[in-house]
Amino acid sequence: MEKYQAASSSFYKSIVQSFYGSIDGQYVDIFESLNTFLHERLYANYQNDDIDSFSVFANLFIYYYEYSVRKYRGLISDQEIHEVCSEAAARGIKEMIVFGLKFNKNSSEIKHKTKDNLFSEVLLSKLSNIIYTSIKYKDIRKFSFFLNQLNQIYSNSYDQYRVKLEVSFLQNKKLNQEEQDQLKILEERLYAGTFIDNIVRRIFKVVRFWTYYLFSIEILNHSEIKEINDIFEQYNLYIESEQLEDIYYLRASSYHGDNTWNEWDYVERPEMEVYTPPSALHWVTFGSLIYFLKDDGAISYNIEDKNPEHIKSFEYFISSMAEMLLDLEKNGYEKWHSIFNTPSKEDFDKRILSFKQQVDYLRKVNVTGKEKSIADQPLHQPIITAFSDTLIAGWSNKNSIRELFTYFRNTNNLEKKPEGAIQIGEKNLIKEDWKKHFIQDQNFATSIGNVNLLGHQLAKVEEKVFINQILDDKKLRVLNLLIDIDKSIHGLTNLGFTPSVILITHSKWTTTFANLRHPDFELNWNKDKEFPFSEYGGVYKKILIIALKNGFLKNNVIVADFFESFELDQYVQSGNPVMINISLITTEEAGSIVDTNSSYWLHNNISRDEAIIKVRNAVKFDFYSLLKFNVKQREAYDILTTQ
Amino acid sequence: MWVKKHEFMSRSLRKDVSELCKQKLPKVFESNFQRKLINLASLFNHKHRGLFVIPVVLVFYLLGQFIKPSFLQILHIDASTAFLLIDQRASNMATIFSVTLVVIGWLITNLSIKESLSYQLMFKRIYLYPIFYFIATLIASLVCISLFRNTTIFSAPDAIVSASYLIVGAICAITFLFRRLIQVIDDNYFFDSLEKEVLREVYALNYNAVYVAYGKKLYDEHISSIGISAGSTSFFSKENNHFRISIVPADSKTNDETSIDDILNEEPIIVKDVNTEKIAKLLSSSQLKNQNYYKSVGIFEKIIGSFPVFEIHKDNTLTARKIKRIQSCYKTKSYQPRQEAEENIYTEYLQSRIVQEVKNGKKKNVEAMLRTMRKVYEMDDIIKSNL
Repeated sequence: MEKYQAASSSFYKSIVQSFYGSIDGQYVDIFESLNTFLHERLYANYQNDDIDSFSVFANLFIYYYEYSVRKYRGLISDQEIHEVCSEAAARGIKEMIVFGLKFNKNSSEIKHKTKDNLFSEVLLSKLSNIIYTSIKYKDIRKFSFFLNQLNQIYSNSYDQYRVKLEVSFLQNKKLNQEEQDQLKILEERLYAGTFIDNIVRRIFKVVRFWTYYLFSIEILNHSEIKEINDIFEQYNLYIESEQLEDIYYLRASSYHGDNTWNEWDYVERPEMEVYTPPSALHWVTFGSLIYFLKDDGAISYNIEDKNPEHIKSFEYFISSMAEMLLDLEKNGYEKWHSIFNTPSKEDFDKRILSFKQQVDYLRKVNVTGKEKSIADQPLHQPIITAFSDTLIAGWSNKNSIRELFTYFRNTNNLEKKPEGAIQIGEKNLIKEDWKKHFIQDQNFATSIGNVNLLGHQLAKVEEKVFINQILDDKKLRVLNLLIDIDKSIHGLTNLGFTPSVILITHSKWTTTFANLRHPDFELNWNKDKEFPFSEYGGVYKKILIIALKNGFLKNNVIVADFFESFELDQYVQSGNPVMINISLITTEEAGSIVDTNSSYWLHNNISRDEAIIKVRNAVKFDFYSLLKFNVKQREAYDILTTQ
Repeated sequence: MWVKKHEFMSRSLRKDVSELCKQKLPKVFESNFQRKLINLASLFNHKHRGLFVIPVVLVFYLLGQFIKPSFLQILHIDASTAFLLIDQRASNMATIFSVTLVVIGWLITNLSIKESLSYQLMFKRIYLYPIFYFIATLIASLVCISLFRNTTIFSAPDAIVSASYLIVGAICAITFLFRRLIQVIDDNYFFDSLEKEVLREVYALNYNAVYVAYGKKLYDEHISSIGISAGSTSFFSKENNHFRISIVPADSKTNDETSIDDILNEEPIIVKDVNTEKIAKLLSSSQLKNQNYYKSVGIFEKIIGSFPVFEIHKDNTLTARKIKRIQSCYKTKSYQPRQEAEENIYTEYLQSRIVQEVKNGKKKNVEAMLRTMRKVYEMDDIIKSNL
């Protein structure tokens, strides 16, 4: 159903204009009447659960403050209406959050609390925009007043503190069903109860970081940032409590949040032009870095109680801080030394250096934390299966030798290891850092690339082994290859064989066959018979040519009655000639691995425990075939060499 | 469930909707009787429609002449007195009329706000047009009577009796006009009247919107109850598994060859009423197979007549007669775009006036208009939460 077009919807514009008019004419009493009307509408929208209209009307707080600051900034006279506007905007929002919405009789009930929170969130986002506007127009005096109002919204009640304690007590305990339900209720209560406080704290942080950023791009000058720093002195607690959690939140919300600060900008952009405001991800990180540096502060980060998500966000956070730190180190002294209170260059460098060390240390700790988390996870079988399938596909694709053996059906599949068989490929190989590819974890798991290439490599090794096996010293030197191939065919035929394959390197094939339009050579022979050969090179006198792209044959050409000449014995495990296995390394195994090769694992001064975790981030990897190529009758093939 | 199923299912969707409005929005909608009374009073109060007064006056004379109702005949006047009276009354009336005009003109020149709309509103409140036409007719008739006094077309004594009554009426009307005029010049009264006008407009607007919305809702419930699903019927869809039924009987060529321009140029129509009960009966009796679709129709909705309201799968057969009977269930009237332009003049005036009053720093006036806005918002809030 289409939306009901309210008759009143056209009033909004004239209300906005009335506000502007009252500011223009400095009619305080009219402004107050209008403001009362605004409050009435907000309250009515709240009662009707109409959050969209509520948000639209709450925008008026920003509009009239911005209009008045734009008109009266810098003017010493004419301040009364501006005072009234700023007061009305911030105090109005504060009072509505602190007293207004709580007129709800049963506001202790979770349901009502949740509703109140939603409306308060809207109001707070308006307040944060008002603060942003005051910075934009450098209305520092009002900026201080707004922060003060924001401060008053923060409740920090003892009641919430108690609930918090109860929750953390229950979380660290084994619970029965009843207690679990209780915990759930408590958690909900805690969430609803601290909802507003959380937002307030984050707004303080966001504003703090934003001002540092503005200073860095020279929108705010020295005296202005100093003034702002002084104002912030009394609110430092908001920046320091829940520091990392809030920074994660702010960084994450810059990707997918609809918070207003994602759109904060420092210049007026022309309308109708595509542009992106400065990235909140960047300036939040930058601002927090400056904050840490300013007080020579320590980042309190305890890896023990962190979940994987935290570890990951911290990893990103730390590494982008490290990048910015490099830049600061190079060109930051001039700009920041007075902020950091490090007058000499040495002091400044020392400050940066000590923080850098801290960052490096934290990064290491965090990496260890990440590795530890990976080490403790099980392997995920479906990923392994998919991996194996890709490997096999890579192996069987373009595997010319196997194709020949399959085509001529001279392969023996054996259930046990053939006598004298050799292992081609790797077994029990410790693949460092591979475990992260095989776990099911949304934070750390990454996929592995070029798997089919790995399979292809095995096929090529097999080819090499085969060719080395069949090449011996009984070579026939040739002058004209084509004539000698003819001779060889003739000779083999005379011995009672039927020559069926010519093996030749691709480069030689090009000069011998492909470029010569010999009447006995046909490239299209395969056209309707569809031979399953990936390196098919046509036929010569009805004999199949395989043009091998790998150079293993060198200058040799082999003319053979393939079936009578060669034979393949291979070990087959449940139908598969290729053995693939990926397995965990247990802590005990890891210990012995470290001990047997301590010079390798214990370099860089890491402890044995850390080394064990490193080993456990690896997996044991088998990928091999067991086989033996036999020469059935040496007389059945000729080796022609052009050397 | 929004309303109980089949609670409303009568022959008139409009009646159902009006019933539903009374139930859901009793505060917003006045009773029909009140509304009709207001409409009647405002019928004469109009630049052109005020001319209706003239025949009314003439009818009154005729009453006195030929039917001679007893209440007009309590006193008897002889012919010579009558002739004398007629001349005197004619000149009296002319004097009163000219004085009235002068005074009105003087008051108007001294009015603080001089805009066409505030004049318009003032004229409306003081019933200027009907009273003006009334007096002018009266003077003209008196002149005519005096001119034709010696003929035998009418009896002069009867005419003068009727005229005297009318003159008394005219003096009452002038008194009323002055009283109103003095009130209207007062800002308070002005904004009260403005509020009345704005609320009347908003009411009309909401009345339509609610009827469309509620109408669609009930229509949906009625039609979907016989197993036809609400679908995106589109005139231009080329999926030919369905044939379409539109409200206005389509020409033979319509379905395939009509272009977009033809549709856009078609005069829209207003749906006055739908007999959903009959539609439901007709369609359910044919026992439709496969997926069939309908498009919602609301009361007072503006639609294109040849736009399909049903898409019926081709496996079903509906006789031409049945389709005609379905089409006859929709009562429509043609749409007049001129009305719409006049619909919101006072609401728009309010919006510009408040900005102006703010600029002039008139707090009292601003508050009066905010009061009006508040009432409109409240009405909207009630409707919004009941849709």
